[in-house]
Amino acid sequence: MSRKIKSQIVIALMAMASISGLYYLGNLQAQSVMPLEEAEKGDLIEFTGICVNSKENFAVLYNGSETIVVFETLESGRVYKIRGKLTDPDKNYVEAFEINQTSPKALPVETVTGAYWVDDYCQLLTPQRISLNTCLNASKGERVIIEGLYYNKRFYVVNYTRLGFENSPEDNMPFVIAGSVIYGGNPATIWDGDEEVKVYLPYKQSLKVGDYVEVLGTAKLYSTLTIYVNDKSDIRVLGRARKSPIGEEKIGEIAYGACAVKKSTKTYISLDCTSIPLYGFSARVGDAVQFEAIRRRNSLYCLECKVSRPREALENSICNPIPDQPSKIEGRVAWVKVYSNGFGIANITNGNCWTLLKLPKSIGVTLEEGGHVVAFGFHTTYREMPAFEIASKEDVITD
Amino acid sequence: MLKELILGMLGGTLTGLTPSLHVNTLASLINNLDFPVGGFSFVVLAYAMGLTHSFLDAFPSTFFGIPDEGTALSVLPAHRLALQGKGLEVINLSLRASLLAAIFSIALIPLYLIIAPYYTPEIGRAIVFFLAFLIIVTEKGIKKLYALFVFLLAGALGIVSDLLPLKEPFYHLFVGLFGVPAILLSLDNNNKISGGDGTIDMSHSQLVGFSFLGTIFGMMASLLPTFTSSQAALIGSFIARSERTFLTITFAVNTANFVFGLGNFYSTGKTRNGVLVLIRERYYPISLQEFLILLLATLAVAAIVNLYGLWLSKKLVNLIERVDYRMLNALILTTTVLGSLFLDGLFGLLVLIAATLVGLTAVFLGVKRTACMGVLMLKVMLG
Repeated sequence: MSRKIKSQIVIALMAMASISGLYYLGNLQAQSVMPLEEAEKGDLIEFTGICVNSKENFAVLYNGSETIVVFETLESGRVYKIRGKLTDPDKNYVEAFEINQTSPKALPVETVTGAYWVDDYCQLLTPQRISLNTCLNASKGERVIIEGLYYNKRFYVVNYTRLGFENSPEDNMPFVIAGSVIYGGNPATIWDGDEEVKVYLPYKQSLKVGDYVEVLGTAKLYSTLTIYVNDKSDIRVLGRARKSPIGEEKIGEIAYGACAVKKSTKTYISLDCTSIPLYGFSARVGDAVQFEAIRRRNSLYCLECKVSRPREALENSICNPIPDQPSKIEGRVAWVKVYSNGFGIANITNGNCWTLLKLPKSIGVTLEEGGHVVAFGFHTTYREMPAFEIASKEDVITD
Repeated sequence: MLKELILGMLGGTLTGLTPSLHVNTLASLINNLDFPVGGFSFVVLAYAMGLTHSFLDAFPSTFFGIPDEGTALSVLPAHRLALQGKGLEVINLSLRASLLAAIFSIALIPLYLIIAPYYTPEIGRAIVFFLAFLIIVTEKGIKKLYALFVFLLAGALGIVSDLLPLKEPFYHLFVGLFGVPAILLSLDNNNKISGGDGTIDMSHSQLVGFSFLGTIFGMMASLLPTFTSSQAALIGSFIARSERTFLTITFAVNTANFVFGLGNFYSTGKTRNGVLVLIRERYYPISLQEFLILLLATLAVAAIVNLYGLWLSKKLVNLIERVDYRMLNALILTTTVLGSLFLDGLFGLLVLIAATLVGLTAVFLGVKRTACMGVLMLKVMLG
């Protein structure tokens, strides 16, 4: 073997031996890692922290008190155990040799209970808004217990438990409510079975009266429970409110039936089948009305109403008066008497039957003897004589 | 601002001429010195210092054989020319190639600003693989195996050095791989170091052409963080036909990398060297107007350093020429060893020794020293 080859072999062996020696020393060093606080440039450290910032080839890890920077691509929100060399003690740059995902148990995690919430970003309401680093696999508004660390005004979640939805509302906390819409529009009012709940909806959103809905929003405990909905996806129409025959309905249910109109005003009508006024529909006294109406606390509101039989189709009841029932009379004016206070009576005769038509001054109706009259109202008495009273000028038709 | 520019050039001249001072070390130096200037004035100072450094760091590589990461591959040919009495020619070459690179870089900046945002680390890694392949296959016969062996040995050293608590690992690695073997092998050589007259023995067209090529490689190096200027120079070594053309490419790469680094910083905020990291910490972002001012400063620095760089080098060479070369080598070797001890104690010295042995292995096996670049490349290749 020539001297040259011998030299080559010796040098190469020495190089390999020296690298092996350094490897051995490196491993010895690796067993005696320094705590980050005491480490100097070039020292080997071990650090367990949650990744609080991650970009391509750049990640920041935080352990509750210290941060380090590694030039690797990590996943934000995951907990890693890093073994590496501190390359810049001022900025805590670490050249990582070993990166392993690990359990968050090693970290001084905090536990926070609140309601999961999403608007522009994912957050927890306690009711203070805590910005979360990640969105959770939980329903919006659901109560959760989260574990993690605060870093830079954000909570980095390492673990969480779902607790379901709240049964009773808390001020400024999310609340889900289901019920019938008894006042539509925006704000709308929902009857949840016990009480009225006012619901403020997002811009250009509204609820339809009679729908059965579920809404999610933040609750405000004013004199009336108020829910503020921030996203239209938090409004779910589940169907229509329960239907019940008129008289059996409860608040929030849709009452249905066919009844005669007892009284008609500009805003409501009174029906002969219920003492509760019906709003949102107009008909004349004596008309028969078929309706579906939502039951509010003290009224009904028409959802679908129509006149099923106009009052003109009523039988002339002058010979068969039935008190307290909307009726029609028809006959000739036999005579008219007007008292000094303006109140008048007119004798309406049809064959052998007659009745006294009461004409209060306020109605402003004047009849002429011999004229033909059709009137709609109620049979009553006047000085123990059969009489008929009307509610307005429109209830009397003369030829 | 002119004051800061001049101050920066003075500082860059001092550090550029000092052996073993890398631009990142320079950045920590600026940081620690805590200059009483702030805002954009600080940016001008730091940038001028870094740029001037890139023009003059050929001096220690050439006359002392001591490289840093950016000049590692130029050490041997430059040092060889210095031993032939042509050291000043190398310095002149460095000044001219760097000036041309600065001019070409500014001309190419608009193109660079368009392509800079498209960088992906995969591209950088692919290039490193390609370079490793070239390093091996460009050797002849059995030397392909030797080159692979040295490449892996250097790569293993790079990886192992990470396990050790070293503050300045690149100092020990590069000085050991490239500098110390050159000094050791020339210890029995009693030639006197001579600068010569600095005349460049190369045609103008070659100087311009290879400077342009170096500028293109420097552009690549500044785009791809895994792709250092040494690796860019590696490509140059496969294209260059002579020591001078290789040196031209290497020096142009070094300066172009610095200027394009500024373009990348302005365009994407990414920092490609220690000086830019420092600038980013103190003053970010820079406006278009400030970017243009820095480009003008680039031309000013390039021109001014060319005016005094050779003259100053001549004065320094006159001093070196009076010293016995063997003694000078011994002195440099001692300083190098002490430098390792000073920076990282016993571990630093051990890494220096191991790196020297790997560097000597390359010499003894007769393979190109470029195989020693495995010290950086293997780590990147393994991800």
